[in-house]
Amino acid sequence: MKRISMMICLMILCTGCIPKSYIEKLGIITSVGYDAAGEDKLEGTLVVFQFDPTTSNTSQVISSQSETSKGIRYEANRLTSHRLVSGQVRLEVFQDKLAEKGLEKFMDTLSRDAKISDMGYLAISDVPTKELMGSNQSEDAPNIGIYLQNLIEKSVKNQTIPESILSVFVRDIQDFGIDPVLPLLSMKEDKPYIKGLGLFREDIYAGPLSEEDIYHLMLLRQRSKDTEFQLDLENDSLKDYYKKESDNVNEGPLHVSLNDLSNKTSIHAKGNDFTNQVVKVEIKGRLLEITKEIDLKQPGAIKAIEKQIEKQLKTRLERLVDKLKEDGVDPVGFGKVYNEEHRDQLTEEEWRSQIPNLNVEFDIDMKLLRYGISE
Amino acid sequence: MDTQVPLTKEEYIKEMKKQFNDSPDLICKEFQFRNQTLVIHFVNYQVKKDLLERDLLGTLTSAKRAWSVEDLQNKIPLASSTVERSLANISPALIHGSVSVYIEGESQVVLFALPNLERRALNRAETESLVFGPQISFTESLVTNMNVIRWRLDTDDLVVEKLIVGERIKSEVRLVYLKSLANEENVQTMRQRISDLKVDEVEDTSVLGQMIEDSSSTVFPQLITTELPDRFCNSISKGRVGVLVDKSPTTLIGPMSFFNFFESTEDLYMRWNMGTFIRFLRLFAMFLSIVLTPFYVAALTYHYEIIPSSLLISLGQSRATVPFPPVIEALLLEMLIEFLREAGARLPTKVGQTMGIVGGIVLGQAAVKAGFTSNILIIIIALSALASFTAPSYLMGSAIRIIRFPIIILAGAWGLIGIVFALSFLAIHLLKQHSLGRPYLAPLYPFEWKDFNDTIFRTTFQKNDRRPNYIMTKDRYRFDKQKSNKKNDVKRI
Repeated sequence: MKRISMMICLMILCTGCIPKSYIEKLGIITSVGYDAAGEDKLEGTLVVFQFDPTTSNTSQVISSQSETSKGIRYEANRLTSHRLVSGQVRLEVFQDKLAEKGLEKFMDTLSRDAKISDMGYLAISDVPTKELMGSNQSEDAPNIGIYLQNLIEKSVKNQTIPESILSVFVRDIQDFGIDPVLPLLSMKEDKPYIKGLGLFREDIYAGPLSEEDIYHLMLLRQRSKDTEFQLDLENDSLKDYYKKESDNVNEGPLHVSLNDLSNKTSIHAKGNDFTNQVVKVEIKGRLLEITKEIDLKQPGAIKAIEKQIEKQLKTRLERLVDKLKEDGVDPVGFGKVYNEEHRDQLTEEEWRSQIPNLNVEFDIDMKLLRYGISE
Repeated sequence: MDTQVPLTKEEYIKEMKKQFNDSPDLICKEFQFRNQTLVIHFVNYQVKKDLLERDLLGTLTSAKRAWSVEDLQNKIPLASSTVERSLANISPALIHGSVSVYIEGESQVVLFALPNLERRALNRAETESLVFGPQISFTESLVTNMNVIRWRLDTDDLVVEKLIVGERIKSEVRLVYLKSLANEENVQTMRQRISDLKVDEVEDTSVLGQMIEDSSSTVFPQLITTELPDRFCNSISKGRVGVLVDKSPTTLIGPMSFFNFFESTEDLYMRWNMGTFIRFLRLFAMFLSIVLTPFYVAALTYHYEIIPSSLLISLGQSRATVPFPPVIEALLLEMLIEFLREAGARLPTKVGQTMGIVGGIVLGQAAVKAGFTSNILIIIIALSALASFTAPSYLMGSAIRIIRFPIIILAGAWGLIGIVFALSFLAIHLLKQHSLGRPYLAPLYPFEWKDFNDTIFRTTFQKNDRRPNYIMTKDRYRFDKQKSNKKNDVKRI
């Protein structure tokens, strides 16, 4: 009994206390936007939850300027009666001008701060984030921060953009032979949307990748399932299989849309030469829509469509690789794959310098598994 | 002091009166019969009057010759008759409903047992009611209870030992077990603990249970008290030892593991998959009941990071009006629930129902409206209170309700660290417990995978061929597993 009471006394007297943080007294930051302001100053925009029983509006947007990313929060604390905490930050957006100077220093503090989730999303924006966060078009989400977060999360889940969480981004920066990408946000009529992808050379923003090339990059970068995609083929390439020869439906451009797509991609260097890459892409999918009246039952029709899609995809992928070569970035990870097969034969400098000399050959295998019943 | 039966009538009557402190309940009747004086003593309402008049008095008065002690024993048509010489032994027998017949000049008294026991009929179980399965429960009468047990356990293997406890007011205790199964050590432990008791009286089985339990300081019961004959007999047939106390409608069974407290015999009557599901449900409910409120307190006091962002707004908005910190808020509401439960148990049934409605709906609603608590906490408290009532053992349910309070306070002081500390403490505490010297957390520690069959899971009867290891029964197997799987159905042609 004496021992137990001693233990309880010691427990109460000799243990430290964690500072209490009652949620109703906190300003909980849900997302942060960073803009470049002046020479070495940052402007931060914080989207904050704070709980006021008298109004239904629970969020607030606060901006402040400082030299460091944490300093922004300290500065912003003067602007609100709630204590600002960053434990619920799930999204960080960087202005493109800031990203051009390199994001490494931000990543350092973000990944070291235990309060900030490593599963939080990152994005860049080609408009100042202050404008982006100032938008009040947040659909059903409680605030703009949550809306942006849902927007990115949905796109990642549907595999329309590559994974953009903090830990993946940091991994891609530090990994040899691969460059990271982040979603690029923008505004259309005061409403934020995903404009495309931002390509990075290590941690430095190298330029945008347009929205239609995202799928092509995804094809090369990862194995995916259940994606959807639209493609335009050459106008008269399927002439042989039209139902009626002279139907005006058959005029105009030819588009196909596919869904239920799954792809398997393998990259291989031919003859141990890094600059000679062979990329094999196997795609399986379902033909959902085609803009011309084609008799799919006709023997060879499906084969012909497949062939056309392969051809079109190949030109598109080549266009993408040209664009990557131009920017001198390697988000596909040619270097990484090469390094996995041939250890220590390629230095970081060699990889970087040889990106523009890459010669990529594509071998695409398209399979249309289903196309539905048509009468 | 052992007083012999005196030889003269006057002296005998005087002595008997002295034994009974001149109680008016002692009825004394003298008969003059063929130059013989017979004195009959009995305690008023303890005897069956009709039997007394018809069989005893009728036979006594209609005899053709004088009575002797041998004749009294042999010629009276009553089953139980004993000869007693010591006055000290006569009075307890009279209290228990015997009639004493004294023939003047003899130093012996013949006692006829005609007890008139007030007892209620077998009723439906109240505290441990089953939806499905046998419905009767034990009553206060040991005779009735033994009758039920003998009827359910139809075997000559059944051993019933009689023990007496209580120095001043004596109670009869019966030790029940199966000779070919029950571990001698278990029986001996139980027997010794009961016979070593030096107490004034034993009020009830649960009191006896507390007196003989391995550890009195813990909140967890180590022996199961049950009022269900089927549960009692099921345990006995698994090789456990049971105890019945006269005047108590509950029985005691041991050794028990912690997980046995979450079993109900209903699990056996249902199909195995449902039985297992319900057992899991109860264990989960127990865990939830312990952890849910502390978790709320910890999350809202320290760890706002772990709250899902979709829940953050509703939690924050409802918390914003509450003037207390979450610990106080939670303790207040937990108290409210405990008050309701206690009031509901004490109040007469008709008022009790009204109280339930007033407490549950009116108080809950008003507390939220007044900004006294957040409505999410109301849900959490209600859920954990409800979960604590799923334990089939009432004592275990109360134990779970009690240990919640210190955990809430710890969660308020140290957040999740406090909860983890409390749970670790609980785990160590449970590991230290014993039931009749057998490990309390049995199939988990010492770990015995095959015993999970009958404690945490409830597998099919064909597979469940082993008796739990920790009971240490003499015969570990119920049946031959190989044979049980064969089904000799009629072959289709």
